[in-house]
Amino acid sequence: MRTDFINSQGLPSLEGMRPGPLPEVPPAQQGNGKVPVADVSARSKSRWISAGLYVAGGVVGGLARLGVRQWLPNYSSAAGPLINIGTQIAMSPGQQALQLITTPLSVWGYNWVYGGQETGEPKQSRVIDPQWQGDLMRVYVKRSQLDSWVSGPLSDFGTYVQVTKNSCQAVAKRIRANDIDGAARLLGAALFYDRQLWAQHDPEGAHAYELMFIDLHPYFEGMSEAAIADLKKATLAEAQRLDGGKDKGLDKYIDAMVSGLTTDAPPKSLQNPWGGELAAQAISNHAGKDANVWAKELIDEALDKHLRGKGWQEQMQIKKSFNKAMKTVVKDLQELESKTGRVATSDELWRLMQSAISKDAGKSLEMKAALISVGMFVLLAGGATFGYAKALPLVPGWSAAGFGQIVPTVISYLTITARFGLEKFIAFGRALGWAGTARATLGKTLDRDFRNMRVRTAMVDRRATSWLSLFSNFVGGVQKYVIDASAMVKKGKIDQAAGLLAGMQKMAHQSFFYFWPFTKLMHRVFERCGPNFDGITQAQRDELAAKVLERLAKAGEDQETLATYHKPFIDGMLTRNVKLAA
Amino acid sequence: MQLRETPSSRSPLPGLPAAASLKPSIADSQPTQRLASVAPSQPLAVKDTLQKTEGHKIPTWVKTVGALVGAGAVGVGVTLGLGAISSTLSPMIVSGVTALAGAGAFFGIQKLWQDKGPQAPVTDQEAYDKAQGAKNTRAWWKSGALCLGALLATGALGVGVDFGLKALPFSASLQSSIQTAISPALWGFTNAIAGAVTFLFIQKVTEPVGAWISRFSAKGSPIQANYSPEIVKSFIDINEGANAVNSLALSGAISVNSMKNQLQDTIRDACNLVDAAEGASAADAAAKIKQAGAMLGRTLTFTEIVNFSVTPDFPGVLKLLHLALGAYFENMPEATRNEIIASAIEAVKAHRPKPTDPRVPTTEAAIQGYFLPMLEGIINGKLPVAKDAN
Repeated sequence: MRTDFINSQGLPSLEGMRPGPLPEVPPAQQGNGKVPVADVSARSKSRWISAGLYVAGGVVGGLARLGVRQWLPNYSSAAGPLINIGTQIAMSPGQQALQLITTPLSVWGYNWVYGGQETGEPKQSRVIDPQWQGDLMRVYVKRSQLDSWVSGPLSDFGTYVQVTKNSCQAVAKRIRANDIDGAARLLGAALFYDRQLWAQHDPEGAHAYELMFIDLHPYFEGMSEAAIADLKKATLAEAQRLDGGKDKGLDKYIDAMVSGLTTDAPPKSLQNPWGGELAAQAISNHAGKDANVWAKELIDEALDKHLRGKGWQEQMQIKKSFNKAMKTVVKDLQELESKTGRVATSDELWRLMQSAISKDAGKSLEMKAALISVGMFVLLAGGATFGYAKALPLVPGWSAAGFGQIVPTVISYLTITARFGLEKFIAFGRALGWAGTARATLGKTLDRDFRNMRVRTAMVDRRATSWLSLFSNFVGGVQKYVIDASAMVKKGKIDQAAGLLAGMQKMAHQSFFYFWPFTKLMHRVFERCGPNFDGITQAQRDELAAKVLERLAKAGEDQETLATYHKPFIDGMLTRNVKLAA
Repeated sequence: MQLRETPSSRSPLPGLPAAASLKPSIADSQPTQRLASVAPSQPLAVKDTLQKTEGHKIPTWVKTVGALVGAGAVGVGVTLGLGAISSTLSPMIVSGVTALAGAGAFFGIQKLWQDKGPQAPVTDQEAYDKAQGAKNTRAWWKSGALCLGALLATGALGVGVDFGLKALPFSASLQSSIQTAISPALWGFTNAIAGAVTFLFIQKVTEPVGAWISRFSAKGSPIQANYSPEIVKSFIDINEGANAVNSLALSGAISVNSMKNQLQDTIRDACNLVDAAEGASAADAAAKIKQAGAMLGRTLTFTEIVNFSVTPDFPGVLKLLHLALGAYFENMPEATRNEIIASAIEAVKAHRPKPTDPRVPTTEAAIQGYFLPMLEGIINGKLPVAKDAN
């Protein structure tokens, strides 16, 4: 038996391992369209719960209709549309049950309409082997167990970290070459871009950011304190240059981000929007005292200092948040002390405090947002129904079968604006429906962080935020091309670099044509990628741009597309934020 | 060991079974229009490409008016032709004529208002901002009108069905039963059509209001999103651009991009290995190239399942993937590329799990139908020959 893969704890070590064939899966566990008994039972349970919720929603809707007919006969006709919409919403939490029936049906329909896999006709999607299909479905089910208020932002955060990782890889190369200024140009542009695009992460995403720093810190490991200080200073200068002094919170943000990346420490200024530094100072001043007393003194001191100069409304708001959070801090401290049998350290107290403030603020915010949203929904839908009821007698024939459909459509449009809170209700049902199988173990703090991101995202026009993740995905791809192409140019392989960039632009134009090079957003992308081309000469730049366009023309791109899309794209990429060699 | 060379020194492809059935390279089959005057600092001379050929098309407004008049004429003709029974059938005639006229007017107006885009190519920021502003204003009017039209049209459809049923010799209870029975289908259909047409306007109105309600809900909270207005505006422009495309195609494009991303990471690492082989001992270089191929083969084994919808059956997609990724293999001797392909296939043979369903291609069939065309297409730009329709 080989023992070189076993470490001192007797666990398999990754060191020295080479890729090899996976162990054979025993036939009993292989797919063949069958899943393990425990999973079957859990899925079956989920279906029943979902179906139950679906039917219950329908019954509630039916009872509402009966109730209106019984007690509000004059509104019976007018309330119809509202009851229909309400019934749909009530049934939504259980819609997974319906989905389980309709999805296979629609797949069957597709196969039938487009020519079947069964008949072996060409140009069809390939059959996924049941051994994979079962697992892929289980991945979906597992993902559904997480409240959609959390899973959406979580997925977006993953994309954001991935894109930042691309930048960190390029930054690390420059740090290793002792080019701190070059590294700062890349990092400053990247962080400035993130600050603008992922505005819903700042500053409450502290605990999620810790995850990011765990992932990305190795790119910065081993830097001296002096080098970190230089990098921080130069990165801030770079970001401020790009920003032009508009963003007042940029310095704090850059400081926290660079600190987190380089030292693997949680970003303090991000963690506590109510004066984290004051609180940290207070904790260290009180070291050695009883932990619960610290918390009390800490809050008084921090509040006194922090509330100076604020308006009374803001003072009330902050005080309320602080007080609420401190109750949780004291409770958590007591719990911690009883568990460990000792007084909490200042670090532990610090962590508990951040967690409690964030949790508390998020919780009350979420509830408030949900309640107001539901209130608005009722108001809008009720108003529309009332108006409809009053209008009915005025227009003869209004309630004819045909025009009767207009009203629910209008009511439906009106209420879309206020469905934010109702989504929470639907998400709850979905999570409940899948409760039979193993739940995702995200942890309360991160769960809260991602919920806060969700609320924050809802404050922005969804036409903007719905493209964030896809845009980041696109930027991630562009960055890889730029990093490779710039390295090729520096090695004198301009032709090949042009091939890469032309391929990238063609792909972008076909898959993401709507990210138009004249938008401010794309300017940020060019600025982010530009420093990768630092050090090329004017002649190299001109040659590269000309070759990119020439290749695209050769690939069949027409003159108009070249002029209106590809040329501004490559010009932006090679001119914005690029430091040419003398 | 030299691993990169000029394209002209490539040798023929030896020993791969599907090679004979592959088309010449994409580059060879493409139009070779060259852009002689392109230089980054000069605008392109493209005006000639914008002169659209109109031919002898009938103007849209003539068609629209024609449809309306035609619908009226049909109504009059039917009424006169049916004589005495026309009064009995009048509701049906009315609804038919309304539908015809409505359709003519609707599509005519839609066509007339269709955004033809900027008249001159937008090659600078100022022109873009101006064109975008004008486009947004037009979008409000057009989408608003379409929304109202769609609402009325769905209502009219319902009325038409209602009158139509009444015109048929059914008893009142049977009519009512039919009405009730078809109501959900009618409801779903009209909503789908109306939803498709009114989507843009609904978005324009509801999304900012929804965002305002959320901001109002969270007023005074420290948790605020601090997006700059210019970024939000850019995203909204993007949203409109993306919505102007068939969503099925959009979703397909996203799948292709995901496939590209999967492959790009592996190809970058594989080509780095090939570069590292340069100057290494022959045995070491061969091992590195073999590993590069194995990486590619393994990734394709993964994409065959996870990115199952992107297959070499789509020549356009394969061409695009070659354009996007082929440059990584440029200047690599053909022999090296063939070695990579061969070791990728070896890896597939060794690691692709045995199918458990008879409909899933065997590994040998998958090599011919998926892996080899993918590798040849992406690396060498060769497309599979289309299957004979007979």
